Amino acid sequence: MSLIQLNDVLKIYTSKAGDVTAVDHVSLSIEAGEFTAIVGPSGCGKTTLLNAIGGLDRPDKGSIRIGNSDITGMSDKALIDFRLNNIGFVFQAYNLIPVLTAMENTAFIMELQGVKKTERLQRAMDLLSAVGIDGKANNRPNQLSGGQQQRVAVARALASHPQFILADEPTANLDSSSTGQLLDIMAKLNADEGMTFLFSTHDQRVIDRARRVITLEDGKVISDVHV
Amino acid sequence: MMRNTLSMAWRNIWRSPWRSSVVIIAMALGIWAGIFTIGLTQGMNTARTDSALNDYIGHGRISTETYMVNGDIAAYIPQYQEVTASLEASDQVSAWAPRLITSSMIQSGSKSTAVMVMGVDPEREGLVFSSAVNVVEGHFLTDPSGDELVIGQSLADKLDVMLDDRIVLTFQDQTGNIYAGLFWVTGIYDGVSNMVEEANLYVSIGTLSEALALPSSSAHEIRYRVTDLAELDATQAKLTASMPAVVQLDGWKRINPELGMADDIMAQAMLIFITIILLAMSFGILNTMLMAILERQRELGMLMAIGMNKSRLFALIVTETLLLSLAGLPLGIALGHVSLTLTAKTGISMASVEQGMAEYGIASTIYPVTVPEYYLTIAALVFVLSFLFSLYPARKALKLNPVESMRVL
Repeated sequence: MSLIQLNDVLKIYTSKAGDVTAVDHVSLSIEAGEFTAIVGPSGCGKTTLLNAIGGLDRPDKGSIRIGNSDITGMSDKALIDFRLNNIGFVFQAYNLIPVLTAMENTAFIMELQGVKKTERLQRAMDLLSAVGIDGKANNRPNQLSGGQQQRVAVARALASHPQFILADEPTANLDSSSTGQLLDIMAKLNADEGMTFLFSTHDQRVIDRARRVITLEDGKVISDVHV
Repeated sequence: MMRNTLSMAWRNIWRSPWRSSVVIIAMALGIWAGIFTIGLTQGMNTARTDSALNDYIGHGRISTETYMVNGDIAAYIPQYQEVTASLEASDQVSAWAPRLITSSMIQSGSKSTAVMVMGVDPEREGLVFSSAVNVVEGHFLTDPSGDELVIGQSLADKLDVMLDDRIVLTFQDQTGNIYAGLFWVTGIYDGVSNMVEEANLYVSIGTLSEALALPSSSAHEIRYRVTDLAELDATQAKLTASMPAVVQLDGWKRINPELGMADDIMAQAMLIFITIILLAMSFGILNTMLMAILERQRELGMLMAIGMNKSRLFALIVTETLLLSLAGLPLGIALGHVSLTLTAKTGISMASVEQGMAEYGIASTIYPVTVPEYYLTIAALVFVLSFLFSLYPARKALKLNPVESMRVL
């Protein structure tokens, strides 16, 4: 069974200027362990598709299954719990909590899961170490570079033992050195631990590292290439 | 989890140190103003009560029910000797003073008015009341049966009389005959409430009993002081048991219910006052929290996206609001307590409104009192109001859509 299964997903945004079809009858399946990039020009529906897969937005039509769960029929409360325990998020703007240190940011999601303090601090440290930033564990986000913040974001995404990680333009704000380091880390996690990554990106450096590239245009999948 | 919410909320408050400091200081100043006003008002009220008890009420009164109901001058206290013996025997009564009282017309050379004539024992009166101390011109009564008369400054002004002037008192004796007597103004008292000064004048009890055609050892009432005012009810109960059934004993709160209620009324008024202050402060906090939520939309959206549930988010916003409000509380209470403690020693001069205060028999220097009994009430009020005012920002936060919020730059 696929890890992620989209069947005929349709998402239309209504505005005064008229309806915009952001995701147009997309059907996809993504297997566990994939390292997949969703690419396409701005406004093609990449982020909308990612949001729908991540349970942040509901499709107007079609269904999305994650593992054995159909998330399209879930209540808001159930979706929050589902996201917490099954999906790791990495955002373009890092979105770390400014008042928490790198360690606390990483441990925060485990706190929401109810993990014991000693256990979550140990795991947070291990994860920061895995992304090569354990030396900055006690720094707050404003004391970290963009690349370092994004690495903390990856550690946070991994902290909840998710089934997969959704990364929305994760390298858009990074210089090439930081991008390289981040991609190395993600690729290693994918290779060593089998963590599934699903990116939306324009970044050729990310596309070059992906093992599957799905191209969207006007909300439709126009190509799906396994490298 | 609660501890982490608390820690995160506390750190969130200090993301805008200036803004939070202004809110906390405003809250502290509001609480300080409230506490200080309560202490000042209570000080004023205490001064007014003390003045009334010392000047003309005393701590308690013994009289007959008939006299109290009808004001019948023939209804003097029976078994007077027995009653006064009980008072003398009680170690909880520090002093007592008999009084004969009648309404009268007073006439000076040019004016006349109605007054209450108090026939008092000059020696005993001074032990219960400060009447003698309050005499600012001349002297208090010295002759237990002479034609001396002491009037209030306000009445003297009203009648245009001065020290050593002669005035005429006219009233009915107990047989119905009209008595008219010539008296010398030997003393003028001041510093009591103007209402009392205009209404009450003093003559010797012997003179009045003779004029009213009453027995020589008679009194319409006996006013007394107790050694411990807080134990007044218990003292009265003991005295009642030891006295003839025909007399009735009333404490000062029954003698002057308005004065007795003043403390309670003032307490209620002060609570309303401080609630209004805190309400105004709470709107400031509400505004701050709404701004904070607007500024942190993206972050709150992210928190919901990664799996923070609504109850946790609600708790975070409510805790932030509570902390913001409660942070100013200790400072406000400390400021209030210190300022009241200091001014309780030095007093606060109210010379500019001296005349108005004299109307109520209050001295122009007010000595505020500390009001620790209010601190817990104020803390509870701050807590309740802050909680109520946190609900709206918390609701706004819960209504955020994670995807739309994260689009906010």
